[in-house]
Amino acid sequence: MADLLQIGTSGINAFQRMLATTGNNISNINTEGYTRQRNIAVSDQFNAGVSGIVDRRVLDQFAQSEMRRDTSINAYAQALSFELQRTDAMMSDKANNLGTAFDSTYQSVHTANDDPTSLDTRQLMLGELKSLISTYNMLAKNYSEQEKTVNKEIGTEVSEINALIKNVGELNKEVMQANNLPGGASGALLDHRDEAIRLLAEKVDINVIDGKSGAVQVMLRNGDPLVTGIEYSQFQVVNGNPDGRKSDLEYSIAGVSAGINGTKAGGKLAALFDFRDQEIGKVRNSMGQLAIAITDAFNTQNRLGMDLDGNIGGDIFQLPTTTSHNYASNSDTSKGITSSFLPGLGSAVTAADYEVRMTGANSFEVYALENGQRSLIPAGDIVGALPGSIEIPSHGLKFDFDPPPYVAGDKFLVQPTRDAADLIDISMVRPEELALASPIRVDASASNTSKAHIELEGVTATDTYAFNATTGLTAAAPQQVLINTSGGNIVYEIYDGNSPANLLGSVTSPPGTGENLLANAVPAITDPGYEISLTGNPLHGETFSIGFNDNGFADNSNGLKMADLQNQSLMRKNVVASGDNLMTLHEGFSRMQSSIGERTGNAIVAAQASVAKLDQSTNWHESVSGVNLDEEASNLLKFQQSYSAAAQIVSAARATFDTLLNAAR
Amino acid sequence: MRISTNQIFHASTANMASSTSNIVKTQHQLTSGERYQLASEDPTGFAKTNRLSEVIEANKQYIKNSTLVTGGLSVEESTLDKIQIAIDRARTLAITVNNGTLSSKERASIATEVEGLQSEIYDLMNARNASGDFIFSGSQSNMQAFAKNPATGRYVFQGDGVTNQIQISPSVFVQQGDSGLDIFEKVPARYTATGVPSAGTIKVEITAQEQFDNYHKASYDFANPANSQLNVVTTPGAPDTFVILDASNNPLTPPISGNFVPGQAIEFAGMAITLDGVAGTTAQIDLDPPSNENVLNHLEDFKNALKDPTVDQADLQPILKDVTVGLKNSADSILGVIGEIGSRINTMKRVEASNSSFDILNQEARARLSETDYAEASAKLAQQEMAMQVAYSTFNKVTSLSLFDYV
Repeated sequence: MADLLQIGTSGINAFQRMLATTGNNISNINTEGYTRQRNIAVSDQFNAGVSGIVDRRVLDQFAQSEMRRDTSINAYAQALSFELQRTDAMMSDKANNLGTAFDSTYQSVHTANDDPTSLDTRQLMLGELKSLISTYNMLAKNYSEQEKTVNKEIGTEVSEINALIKNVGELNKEVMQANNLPGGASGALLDHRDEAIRLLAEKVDINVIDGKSGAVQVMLRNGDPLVTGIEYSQFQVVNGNPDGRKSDLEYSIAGVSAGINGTKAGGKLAALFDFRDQEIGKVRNSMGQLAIAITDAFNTQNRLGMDLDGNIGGDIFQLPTTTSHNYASNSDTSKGITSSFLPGLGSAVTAADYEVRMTGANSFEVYALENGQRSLIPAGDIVGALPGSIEIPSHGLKFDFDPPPYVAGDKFLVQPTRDAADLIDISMVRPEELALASPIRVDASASNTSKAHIELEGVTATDTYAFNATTGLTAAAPQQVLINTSGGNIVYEIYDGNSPANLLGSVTSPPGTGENLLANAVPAITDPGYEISLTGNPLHGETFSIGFNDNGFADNSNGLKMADLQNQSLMRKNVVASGDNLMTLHEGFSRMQSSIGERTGNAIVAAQASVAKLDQSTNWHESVSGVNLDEEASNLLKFQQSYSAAAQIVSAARATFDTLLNAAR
Repeated sequence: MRISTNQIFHASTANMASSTSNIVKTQHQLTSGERYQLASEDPTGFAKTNRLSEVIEANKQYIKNSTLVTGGLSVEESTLDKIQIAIDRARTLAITVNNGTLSSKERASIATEVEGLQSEIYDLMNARNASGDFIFSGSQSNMQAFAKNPATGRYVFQGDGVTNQIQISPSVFVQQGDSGLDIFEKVPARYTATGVPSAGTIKVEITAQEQFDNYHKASYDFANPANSQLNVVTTPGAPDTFVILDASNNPLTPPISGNFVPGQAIEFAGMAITLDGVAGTTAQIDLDPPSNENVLNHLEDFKNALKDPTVDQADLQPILKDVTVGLKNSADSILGVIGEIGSRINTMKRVEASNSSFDILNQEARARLSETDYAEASAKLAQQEMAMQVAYSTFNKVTSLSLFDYV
């Protein structure tokens, strides 16, 4: 029979510990990562009373691992939606709105057309073109800044991750040591380790397995170990391949290093990689494509006109060139490709990146990379051969290769549009250089008595044999139409500008008409870069002149074409053509804006869903491991009462003993 | 389910945070008047709003353009009106001169008036717009439209036939002005004919201009003018006869022939052909090639003829005819252009009306897409406020419950 005093004392001891635990629970209610503790009392099987009392953390490991997993997913979704929302906000900003910039540009072109000789309106137009480009530059700079910031953030995240991994490793060691002592590792120590693991789960997606003697093994989802027992790995930021400006990841454990794919790491780290490599890259490429499409369209149209100095128009904008990123495994990493845009082919330019892969010393393949697809550009689309430069008119690109030698297997990444919107610049300085007038003027001779009318169908090129920088039109250019009806039919005879003029070709009506005389002439006339038509019934001997538009400054016909660029489909939709593959610039901008909006919207929804999921698993974990003050209050009461009761047992034992003593006295 | 104390606080604060963020958003909608700030809130709505804004802005420019063109056309119209009035006066003067025998003083005073009219018209034809551009010079707007060539003494057009188009709707372009080439320069001069006799003299007068014009238009062979000549053959006899043959000496259909009296006019196709040689002479009548002449040169001829005392009333006749027909043709050409300007202005009015009704529709559509629906937003705000208040009061109730207060 056990000793009553001993029984009472064991109770008092037990309840004291329980009271202490309750107090600990209450005091730690605001401690991050605290797991509530309970005491498990065991009755003494040999002697009566409470024999042992054990501290236990109340923990559901499933709830905990689910919470960790949701933490990673949530951290990923939050970080991605945060970055995308910044992108979206910049794109939606009214002050930087490209659509508004387009509108005011076209309005200024119209205003200049209303009075083509006025320098004020031309200055306004040039100013609007400038501000269009600076809107591009500003928006693009914001995005490249964001890309750089995210890239830097990867570095910061990596050092935080390294600290956390180290922390978990050290705590692991302490837990193992403590487990070798009587009493084992304290709840607080385990809590610290769990909290460190939770913080790590915010950065990367991890798997945690319980190991020997209380140690945990932490690894990435793909199995790469981060902490094994007391060993732990560290991440390193290395220069990317092929783009050295981009950080890539490497990790090393026990002296062994290996590359690691950041986008597969999960957590916030993967969000940063995904945003940098997928989202912002796409946005910057689209911006570049849009910038190239509009500036090339204006350049091309300006080159087809005559400026206020009476010269053929030049370029308004300076289109940028880019150099390739060369893979580290190349035979000579200093050799690369300079890509530039082919003038006049802005509507063929895509938002894709390109990979050039050497298949021999002078042979190569070009792949377009877009939306994760890799499509080979057919050899038939490539003009020219190595060494030197090649052109891909179907993509509006020109590649200049550095001097050979190259070796099969050399690879280059070319991103023609990536920095285009940042680098594009206006090169025109004087408003006089805006070519609003047509370089060609057609007139019926003043002595013609019929009402027949000559019409300029259009100017398609100003770099042909017909044009000359100093004289305007060359003598060989078609310059006159003479009507000859002596044979009964109307014959439109086309003469050059020599003296005496040479007959270049003629159109007989019927069967011909006055339409497109230069294209329909027999014998054929080499395309001079312009086309004319005659309407009405001309009379024999009447002449119609085609000449350089000397002094024709009030003409706005080329300006009208510029204003009409607004309605022209000048931008390519996709690399892989399917039916109608062109859109207007405004559509291009709207598409870019709404696609960012859509992706941001999706990311926000995903972030909200992940919060809900995390809330759910946190609730589960909290409902098991969290402290409830009411419960503690009732425990406090219960244990106080138990303590009093146990004290009464001691008191009873004393009373019994006293009674015995008194009886023996 | 067991709830930890932290969960109770966390749930309440999370609810309050989301309520606050909703209220802020609604309040922003109300104060800014914009339904969305970011494309992510409604990507397709944003894209549509962009497209509508583009159309609305373009429309604004079209309305501006048509106002401008209307202004330009009105200036042109009133200039042409003034020229028209001056030409009418000159025509009256031509008729006055034609009708009576005038003293040399009267001729001189009419010559002075013609000179005045000529310089008035000259000024108007070289009119400039507000930016100092010559409105009738075509695209050579810094070149005076008409100038006198000092060598020939004739007025020549120096501009070109190019006219500017201005866009007033996505598909409608309106011609901003007209070139002097079409209005003044390419005006047909009077049709005439010249006779060449084998002996004696010949006079070919156009007595019925309209009839002759029709004949000229029908018969003149541009490719081979020789094909359109006529031959008058007279044959002595009792009485003397004449016959008019075509260029290949075949009789005309129907044949034209009759008795011939030297010095007496043969009437044919509006011409009065007077041969004074004896019967047996022949004459060749050439239709003169059609030509163009501007009003300034007609007035120049008129003025010079009046000033020249050696030109008598008879000599004046062909000049007067040239001048009268030329002035009439010029006036017709100007009238035609004035009519065209009227129709352009009408087109613009119609397009402007449709532009503004489209504008209203587009503005409405954009407002529906992008602007705050105030009724809806205020109702939402009231609801969100209530939710917030409920969250506050329940927070107080739930969190003030503690067993510790009772032990």
